[in-house]
Amino acid sequence: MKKSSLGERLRSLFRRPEGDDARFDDLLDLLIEADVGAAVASAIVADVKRESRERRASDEETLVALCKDMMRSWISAADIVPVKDALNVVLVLGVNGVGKTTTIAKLASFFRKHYGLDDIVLAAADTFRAAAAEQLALWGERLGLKVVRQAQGADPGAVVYDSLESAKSRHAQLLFIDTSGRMHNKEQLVRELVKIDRIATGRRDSAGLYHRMLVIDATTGQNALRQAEVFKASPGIDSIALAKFDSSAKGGIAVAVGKELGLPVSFVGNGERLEDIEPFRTDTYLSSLFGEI
Amino acid sequence: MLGITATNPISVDNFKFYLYIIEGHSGALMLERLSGKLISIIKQISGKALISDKNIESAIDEIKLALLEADVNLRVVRRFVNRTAEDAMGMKVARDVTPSQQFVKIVYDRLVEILGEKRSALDLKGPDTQSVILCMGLQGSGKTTTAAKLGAFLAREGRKPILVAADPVRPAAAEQLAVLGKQAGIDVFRLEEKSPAKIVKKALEKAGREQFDTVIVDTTGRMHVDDAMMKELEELKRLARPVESLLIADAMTGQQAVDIAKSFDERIGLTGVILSKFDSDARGGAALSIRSITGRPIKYVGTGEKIEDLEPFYPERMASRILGRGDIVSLVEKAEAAIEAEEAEQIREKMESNTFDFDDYLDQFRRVKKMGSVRSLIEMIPGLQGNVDEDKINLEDMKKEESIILSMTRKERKNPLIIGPGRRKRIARGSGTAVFDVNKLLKKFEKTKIMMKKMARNKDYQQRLIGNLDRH
Repeated sequence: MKKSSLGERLRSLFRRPEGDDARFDDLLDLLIEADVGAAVASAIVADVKRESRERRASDEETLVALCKDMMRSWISAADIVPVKDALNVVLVLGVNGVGKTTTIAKLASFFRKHYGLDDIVLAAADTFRAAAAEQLALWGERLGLKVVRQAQGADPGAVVYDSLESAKSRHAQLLFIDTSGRMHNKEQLVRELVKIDRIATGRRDSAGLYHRMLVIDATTGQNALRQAEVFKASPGIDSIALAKFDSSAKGGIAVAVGKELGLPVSFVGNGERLEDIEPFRTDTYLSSLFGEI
Repeated sequence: MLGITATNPISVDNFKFYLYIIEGHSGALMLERLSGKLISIIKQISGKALISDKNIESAIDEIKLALLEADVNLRVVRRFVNRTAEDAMGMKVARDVTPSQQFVKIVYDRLVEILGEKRSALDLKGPDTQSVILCMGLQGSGKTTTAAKLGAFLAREGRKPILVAADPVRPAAAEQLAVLGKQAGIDVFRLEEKSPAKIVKKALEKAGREQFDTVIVDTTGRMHVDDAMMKELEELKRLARPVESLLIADAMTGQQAVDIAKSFDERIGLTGVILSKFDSDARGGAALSIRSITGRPIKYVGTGEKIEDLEPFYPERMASRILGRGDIVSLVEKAEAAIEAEEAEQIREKMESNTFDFDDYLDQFRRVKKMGSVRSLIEMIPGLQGNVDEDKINLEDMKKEESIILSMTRKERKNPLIIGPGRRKRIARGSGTAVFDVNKLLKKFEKTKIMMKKMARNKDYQQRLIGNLDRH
């Protein structure tokens, strides 16, 4: 259903008897349609073209391999490994509607299952959106996790402070901080995030991990690059999580984000169920980008 | 700074002329008040003034890239550009406009045309009956917020809406709608129930009983490729029989926007689209993709987090946004039309040979006018708003002078020396001005001519002007 078409079309086009140029043009189109972005796609194709001519090989396998090699040099996976016997903190941020809260629920479930962490705390620092705290609280209920929250409209910084104190006092192993969706072009909201980051940095357990995760919607186009750029500048980002990868979108923007900003990807969300999340693996991603899965 | 000296001396001359006219009217050196940024942009534009038929192809490439970077779907871009290019080839290139400028204009006009020339409002039935609005879209596209905004909007228009929370999947979705409804003072229908069909059915009954004239249904976010979920929506539509089936689409969506909209349109049948998160800095190419593939109008855009942040959709704004930020495209369009190389060369020759006459003066005038007021020029450049004191530039004077010149005969324009007292009186009458104004213009014209001659011959003066430019 999903990512098959790109690879199938790639393969079929490479079998076409036409000249190399037409093939490269088509390759360009396919990359653009995967949301890699016109500029990045052009750069990739130009390099692939040059390389393939140098090697005097323009068969399908060579071209795909060249494409992948180039992308592999930009894309990397971020492994989030919680420190044992310490409080690890993951700050989750992103623009509105990318899937931050759902990603947190999935991640909590993932870390419990794979790292045997049973004391995980969720902090509802999205005090702006109506019922955002309820949404997280319901997840907490389902997962049997403690949720730290305050009334709507409360200072998100205070929620973060509370959650850190609460997590530390109960010797929790992992704390997820859910923040309000905010447009990266709203300066004031980005500043609020800087404040949250400062509180978290100051109050966290220095023995544990502190990880700032930007959630990006896989269906987003070139604007995702702007989002990553702005949030990387402030408060700073340690990894990208690609949500809604189960849509027909190829999430090619991860290539552009890797190339332009060097940001690694940590997780990929690919379904509605709680277990529909997996650590990002570059090879798996590339295979899926080229429709080999 | 961009090298303008050796590569393009002609447009620099013309640029100087433009500044000179402003200077003449302002009585002060305009340059010093223009900020460096503006100068550099004008320099870039004047550097681009030598556009010919040959590089229309590069104009096409640039537009393609701009559209793709704005996330317009590739297939849409190709079709759009090819068709537009074809149209452009067949068109006669107007005077004073280079082919590439005209092409940009054609592209812009065509964008506006595709995006919809007139406002497309909601098509609701009268208040004596019930109108159902079905909101649908992907997860996180902004359905719940939009449903509440729409409710508030319609309530302001005097309707009696009820919001229906028909998303039993996302935790606290109903709660979110309830909170928003309360904020906006609109009734919300919710039910502890797993089946959205049952919720909608009950909601419609309640709406009928309590005479709500508009029922806005918020549905679960779903992937367009999720067959079971799309089936559920088909059933909801059959049940609710909406007059408006609206796709709520995220303005930041990439190449997939087309497939998403197409799937929803083919399976559910859309009556329109609301573009959410338009307050992001996304260029919103999705709008164009959706509109041109489905033909469904974009009815509103969501422009913020507040409940009242829902606005009618304006195609012109969207078109300039897609083509480039801060309206740079129309700036280029205007400035390029104003500074055109070939004619600038003629002017330069005329300046040098001292045959510059009122026709040329008028011509240059109109170029300046074409650029709009300096203020509107500056308003188009992001970050430069309000940096220039426009009071020093008297556009009223310019208008007056134009009408004086227009009241001159051909002969008088070619040779102002023949304009004696009788002719001055006639010109003043014809242009609705006073003889005093005519005298003033004649004097100024003589002064301009002398200055121009100086400018054209005096390398020092040119160097000083260019030096002035480069200092910024």
